[in-house]
Amino acid sequence: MEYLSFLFLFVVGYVVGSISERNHYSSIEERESSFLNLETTNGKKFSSQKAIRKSEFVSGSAVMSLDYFKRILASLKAIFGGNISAYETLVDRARREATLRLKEQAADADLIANLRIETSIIGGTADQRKTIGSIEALAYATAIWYER
Amino acid sequence: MSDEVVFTPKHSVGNHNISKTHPLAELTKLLLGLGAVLLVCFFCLGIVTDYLVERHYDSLYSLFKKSPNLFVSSMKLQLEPPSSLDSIRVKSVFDKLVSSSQLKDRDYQVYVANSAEFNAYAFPGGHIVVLSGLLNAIESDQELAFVLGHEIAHQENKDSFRALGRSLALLTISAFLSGSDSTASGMFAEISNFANSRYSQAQEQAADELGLELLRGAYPNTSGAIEFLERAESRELGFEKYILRRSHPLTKDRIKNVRKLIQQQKSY
Repeated sequence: MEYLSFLFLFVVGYVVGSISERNHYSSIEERESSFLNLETTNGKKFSSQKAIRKSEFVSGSAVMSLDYFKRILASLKAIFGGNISAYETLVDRARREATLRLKEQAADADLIANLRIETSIIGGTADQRKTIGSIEALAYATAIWYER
Repeated sequence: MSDEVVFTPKHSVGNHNISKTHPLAELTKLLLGLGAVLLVCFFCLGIVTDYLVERHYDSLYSLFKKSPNLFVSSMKLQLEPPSSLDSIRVKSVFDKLVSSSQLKDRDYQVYVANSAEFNAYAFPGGHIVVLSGLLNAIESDQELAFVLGHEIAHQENKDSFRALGRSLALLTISAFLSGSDSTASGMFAEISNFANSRYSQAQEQAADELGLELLRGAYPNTSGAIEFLERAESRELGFEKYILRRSHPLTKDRIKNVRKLIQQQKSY
């Protein structure tokens, strides 16, 4: 009986997980294209020639969870070692989503400066294993508006 | 020198932060790898088990000698105290059997366990356990002697160790490292599932033969053997014949074989 529920979660995790990941990536890429012209830098220096009208602290965060299939794959990988591709997409999506949400905060700004991204692990998992379950990415920066 | 940084919007093509392998392909690779590792372990365990039984029987024997409870409790049974009437009866028949044979120097221990089941076991370490279900069903000491002789034969032929199969290697390692009465060893004993282990046809036949010989050495006739086997056969329900086959050959065959042995002896 236990094996049946495992198999069920496994298959559902794979199917639904792949679909939602694909959809999420399309949404991410679409929004990134719309923000293509918003200058973003992690540097602290910005132009001294332009006067600054206002500056604001902006942030965006996103929490992503592993599906069951990815979790099993990652725990198998934990035995043999190597890069865990399941976590790679998770972290990638979380960071990009957080950055996009940050940009949406200041969509009309001239510059997003001093962008930092921090990632942390959240919460338990579906079957109480000690592997990571969810990831939170926090992006924060200073949004600058120049004088017209 | 201007510290003006020129910003050029860049549309990234593809995603360089993720691996290109398909997750299903990766899963297949991992499962095959894991399967290969388990196969190797299985194979190695088989080799270790054979080696242990062939070369180190005495050490194995003394390792398990101190813990009759290890296997008994793994089968959810409990031993009766040596002062109980059943235990005294079994011990006296056992002593009579052994003292009149070449096995009088052996240090096998006999016990009685409370259970409605009609069965007796020979456990690693020289422990022989007769279940009270069997004791209550038989009608003479000769039948009991045949049963004891049969189990003694299993001990003599080292059958109890072989019946454990690959679990023996794990159980020995655990008993060696943490003692044969530790919880870890108890766990391994349960896994080895002694209740369902099967002695081969040849092992059973050899046990019946030696059991008969011991019986003959201690009692005036060997009718106890046939009586017991016929009693066992009558207890088998239709389908049980085939379930019991797991741990013993068909009782009908055993009766035939024992009758043949008795005939052979008569002609000496």
